[in-house]
Amino acid sequence: MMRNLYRFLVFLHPYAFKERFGEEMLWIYDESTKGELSHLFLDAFISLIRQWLLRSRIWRFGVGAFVSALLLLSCGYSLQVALASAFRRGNPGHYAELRQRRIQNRPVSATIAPTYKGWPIQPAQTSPRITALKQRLTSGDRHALEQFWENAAKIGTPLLDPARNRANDVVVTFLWRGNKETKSSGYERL
Amino acid sequence: MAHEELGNLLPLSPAALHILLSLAAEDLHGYGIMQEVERQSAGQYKLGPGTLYDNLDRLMQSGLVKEAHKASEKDDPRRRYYRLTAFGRRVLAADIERLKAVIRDARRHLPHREPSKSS
Repeated sequence: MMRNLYRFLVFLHPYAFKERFGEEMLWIYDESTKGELSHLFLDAFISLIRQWLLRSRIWRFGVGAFVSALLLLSCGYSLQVALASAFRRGNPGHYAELRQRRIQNRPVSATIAPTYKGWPIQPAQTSPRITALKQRLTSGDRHALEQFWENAAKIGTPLLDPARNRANDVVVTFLWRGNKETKSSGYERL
Repeated sequence: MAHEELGNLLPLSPAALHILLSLAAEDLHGYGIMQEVERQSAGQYKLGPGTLYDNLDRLMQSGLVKEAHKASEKDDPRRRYYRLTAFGRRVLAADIERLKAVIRDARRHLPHREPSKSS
């Protein structure tokens, strides 16, 4: 049993080493006394690590694989950057198209702001009906929007609400209803 | 095999020194080297087969040791003998000289004390 275990440890050594010295190691095992066996096993285990890590030069393969992977990754990245750069140079309209897309996707305030001084206009006061609508929508009331529009249709627009703390002023709210295809909206101050 | 420069091989590792020293008197097989090393160091230094053959392999590659013919045909076929080469003997002598210089320095700088004997 113990001899087979020792033979197995010898067998695990790199081929060149066990081919050259394996039989001699087993012969020494056979010649050794029982008291020396623990020393032999410890020595065989250390030898196994030493032969694989230091003598077999297998670590060179590990380092080689790591460096190769790094080179491949850097080559891939460089190639991607070079291709993207060539594509941009070969398509002058590319930038213009990208710019146009960006403008289209920008929010209204960002689109108009550069052309109008003082944009966006912040209302002095918000209509209490709009505030109530926001609260109902936030709380998950599904019918709030439809009821709001029905009510607006009944009373007519713009909505007129008395301003807080200003007896002579009113809050005027203009309404415009978009649909599913509406992506942005805005208004111009004339 | 081209021999390495003598200076490149010095100082020898303790294992290599003991192995070369054990082969200085006669050709020995692996187990004989292990026993001789244990005797030289009064049991303080024990070589295992893995360490022994790792060192023997490197000493043979450096041309300090070579495989010798078997002592007799009746020997166990697994038993191989090893011999110190002339170059190995020169390297061993050079390392012994180096050790002598170390010991001279040590004697000069350290007060001489008899090793204490355990009762």
